[in-house]
Amino acid sequence: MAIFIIGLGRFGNALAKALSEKGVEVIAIDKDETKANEIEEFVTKVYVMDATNEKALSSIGIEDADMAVVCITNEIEASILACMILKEKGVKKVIAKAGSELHKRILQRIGVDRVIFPEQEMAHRVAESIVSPHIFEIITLSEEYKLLERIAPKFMENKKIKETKLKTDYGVYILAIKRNKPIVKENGKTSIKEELIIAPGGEEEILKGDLLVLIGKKENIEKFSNIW
Amino acid sequence: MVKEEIDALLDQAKMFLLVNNYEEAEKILKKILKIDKENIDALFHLGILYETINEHEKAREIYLKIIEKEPDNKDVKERLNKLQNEGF
Repeated sequence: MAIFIIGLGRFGNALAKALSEKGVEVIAIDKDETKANEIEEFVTKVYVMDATNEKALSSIGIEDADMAVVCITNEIEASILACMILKEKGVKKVIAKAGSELHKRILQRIGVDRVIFPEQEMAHRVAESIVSPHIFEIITLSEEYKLLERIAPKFMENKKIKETKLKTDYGVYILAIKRNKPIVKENGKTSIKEELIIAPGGEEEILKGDLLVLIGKKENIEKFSNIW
Repeated sequence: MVKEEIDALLDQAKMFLLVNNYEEAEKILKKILKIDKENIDALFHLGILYETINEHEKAREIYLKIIEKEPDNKDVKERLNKLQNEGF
């Protein structure tokens, strides 16, 4: 699968490199030769071209692209035009980065498959981490179920899982425990080893600071995430 | 308190840390730091303790305190890099 990255500013550049590191075939495009040269050694191919030029895009086989990510935010017009051309050319999935709420709405209106607004998304995550530092992640698995990664609440510390009555009283289930274990290395220095306990049994004791990976119905997960 | 007594307390604290008795370990380390607030060993182990229980801010503060006094401390730099890489 080849992914076209259009726009090699900070975000596009980082995305192209990250995808390449994971073994993805990346075709990078920017009208700025300096940016194109900077990324050349990291990606499969790089083109210096204007992504609003339909003929130029066709000449590099954009119609056969499985996915394209438009990372242009400094020129909204160019971003919108590029996305429209990609959709018209039949690119299977078009993802675009938005630089503002208005930009995001316009991209959604013209049928971009997924709009990313990293500043907004990151701001929400940072706010969450400030207000609820005990929550590491909440993932929606389905309409009914969520996954929660959080530090063990106080009432669970130094108790066996079966004593916490998680299933009966809270309707959540522990899938795994991520635990930091202090150890002494061969050189005599103290360090920390990370342990992962998958599907812990009822006899497992919860330690202070344990990171629990839990699954449950949405409402139960939300209630449990508010417990300190 | 003499150095030997402080060293003995430190060994106790390390032992409690290794057997996951974080409360006792923290009590002893803080006791040491009340007597000798520059004790790098005690500070380091307090940082390790906070990192273990996912109190990353506290751990970072302690490690930075150590770096102020020992800018070339490799063990602490390693811990700070780890915290940074994990986004803390």
